[in-house]
Amino acid sequence: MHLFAIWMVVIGSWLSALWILIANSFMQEPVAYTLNGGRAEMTNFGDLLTNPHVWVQFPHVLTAAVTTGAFFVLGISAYRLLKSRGDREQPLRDLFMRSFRWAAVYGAIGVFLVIMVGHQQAQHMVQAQPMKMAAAEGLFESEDPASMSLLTIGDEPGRRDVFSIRIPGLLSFLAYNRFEGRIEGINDLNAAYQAQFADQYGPDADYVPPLALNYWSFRAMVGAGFLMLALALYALYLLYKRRLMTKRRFLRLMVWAIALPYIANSTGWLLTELGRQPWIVFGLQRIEEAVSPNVTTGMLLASLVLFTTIYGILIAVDVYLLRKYAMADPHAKEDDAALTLESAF
Amino acid sequence: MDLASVWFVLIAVLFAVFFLLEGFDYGVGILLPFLGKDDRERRVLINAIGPFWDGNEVWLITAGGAMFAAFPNWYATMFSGFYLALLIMLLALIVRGVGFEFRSKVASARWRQTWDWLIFTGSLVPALLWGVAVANIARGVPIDESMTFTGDFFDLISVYTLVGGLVTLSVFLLHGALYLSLKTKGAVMERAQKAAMRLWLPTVVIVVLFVVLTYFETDIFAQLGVNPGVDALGAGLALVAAGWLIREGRFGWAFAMNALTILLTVSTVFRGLHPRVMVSSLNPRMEPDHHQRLFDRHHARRDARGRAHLPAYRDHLPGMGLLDLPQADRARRTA
Ligand code: HEM
Repeated sequence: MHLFAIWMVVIGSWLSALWILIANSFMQEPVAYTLNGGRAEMTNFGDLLTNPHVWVQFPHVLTAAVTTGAFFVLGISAYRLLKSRGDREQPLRDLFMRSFRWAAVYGAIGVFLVIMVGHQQAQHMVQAQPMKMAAAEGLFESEDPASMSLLTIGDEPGRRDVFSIRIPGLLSFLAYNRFEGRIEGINDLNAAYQAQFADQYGPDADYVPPLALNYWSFRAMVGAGFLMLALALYALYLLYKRRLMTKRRFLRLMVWAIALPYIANSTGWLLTELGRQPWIVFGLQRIEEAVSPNVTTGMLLASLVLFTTIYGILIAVDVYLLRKYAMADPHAKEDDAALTLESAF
Repeated sequence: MDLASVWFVLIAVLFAVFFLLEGFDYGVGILLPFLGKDDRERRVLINAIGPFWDGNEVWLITAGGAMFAAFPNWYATMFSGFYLALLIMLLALIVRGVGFEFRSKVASARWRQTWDWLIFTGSLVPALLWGVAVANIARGVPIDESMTFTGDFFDLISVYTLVGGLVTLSVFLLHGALYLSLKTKGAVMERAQKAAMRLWLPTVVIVVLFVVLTYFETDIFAQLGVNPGVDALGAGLALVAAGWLIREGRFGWAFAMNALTILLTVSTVFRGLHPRVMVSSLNPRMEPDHHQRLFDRHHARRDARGRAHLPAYRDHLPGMGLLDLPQADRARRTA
């Protein structure tokens, strides 16, 4: 019965992620609709499900979730391994060794897959939303073959490089699997969109997303990804050599590494959503057009402040409780939420 | 029945079941500090709804989803028009849900008391706001031709809508007390039964007041006609029956009757709205009299060439702000 419930939770979570991403993918790459008097109407449900964007986004998010779970367990297990001492706590150490081992395997697989799928997603992005890619790479002018930026300091209002260290040809390679191929730059793309949408939005509308945020979000996600890959592989190596318990500094590092998947997830979403700006639905509707006329800036600000406050408090409470439970004796009795039902059948 | 009406009925059913189910767990949340004298008793009260409350909330999510899918204009007008009110409701629901989950996690009296009061507030606020919202939808709020809500938060608050809020609050309280009369034992049960007895009369008074005000403030009675229908009469009868059954000590049946009151009331409200989903207050005084409108509803559906039409009054009035069937459907009807 418990196993059944666990599987229902798993399936429910996956399905929920799938439907949310199908909705999000429509905003990234609208498909299966016709415009009827300014309103998009769905024409074919099947096409909505087979939106190519879904099938790079969904696996990325799914594997990202596996990675997140794995690094969470790794961190907690590392913490408990560090804290348990003496022979009396040997059973505890065995338990957390086991969870560490499983989580390391899951983490290595998860982060490897998330990187592979992310790479595919980026290749798809070059085709579907080239502006997002140009912004993520800080590529102001088109290049062929295109170089990949290691560090770019740009002049955002002026739309030009101030300082940039780049690896020649690498961006083309990542995008097309060969060392040549043109990647459009921000300025060319902006000009192209201005021409394409001149009738709708006038010749001077701007189509460039916030650049620094996109650039650094992408770097943070990818950086966290490779760091996690290295950590997971090193953990496996230590487990194989049976030297994990001697590497206390590494274990301490793994506790802090709990933050990495969260950083990657958040910056990944920043890239996905901010990189689409100024579109709410790519190529169809700009954000100005989507604003509710009767919701004022003050109201939005109020809701933002309120949500941030409440979630801030909840995060603090959550971390406090997670810490408490991570340190609790895993064989202790359940708390009274599950008990004391006797008089409330 | 056309597709739009099918969806309308479906959404009505979803809301009806939502109020029926979530009603008792709001009630339990509000009664928590009063019926539970110590930590254990309060735990018993929460456990009585523990397995159900989040399942109950799913009915609301489904109703919202159905509105979004079937009537995007309704959804858009209502959610941006009631932005602040819904924000408050949402925050209350978040705090409440977290309260149920977190309360038992730390064995300290202060920790638990804090969450108990948050559960209380998080249940009280939505129980009140639901009535305010329904009363506003029925009475009408300022919505212009472009289906944009032109009022602000304070337009939503009036004597009528606050009495509406008291109606849902008192009915849900009664519902919660009856539920606990069934689900608990011993001292807690006795207190719950006593609470149900005390709550019934004030509930009836508030409901009667609201019905009288509704006659003056909305066109629901005119929409429904002289005989308001089985559901409206049944709702009243069920509430009276609940009172009698409480006195007889038959709490199971009283709970069922109160549940029936909730279902039938939602049915009455939705029937009074149909075919509108929200009423605009910008034009009701300009409307032809209520009988003319009823006449329109029954006779003006087709024009001379047999083309289906929406009721005539809606096309003629300046500032038409009634939000109704989706555009696509309208296009199909006139095409
Ligand atoms: C290291 C290689 C990685 C690459 C090349 C990569 C690539 C991408 C790309 C291109 C996007 C934007 C998709 C779009 O807007 O269409 C994205 C989004 C995202 N990434 Fe990554 N990613 C990597 C690592 C990670 C890791 C390690 C995580 C988390 C553990 C992660 C989590 C996310 C999330 C949650 C999103 C937002 C949802 C989405 O649009 O898919 N990524 N990633």
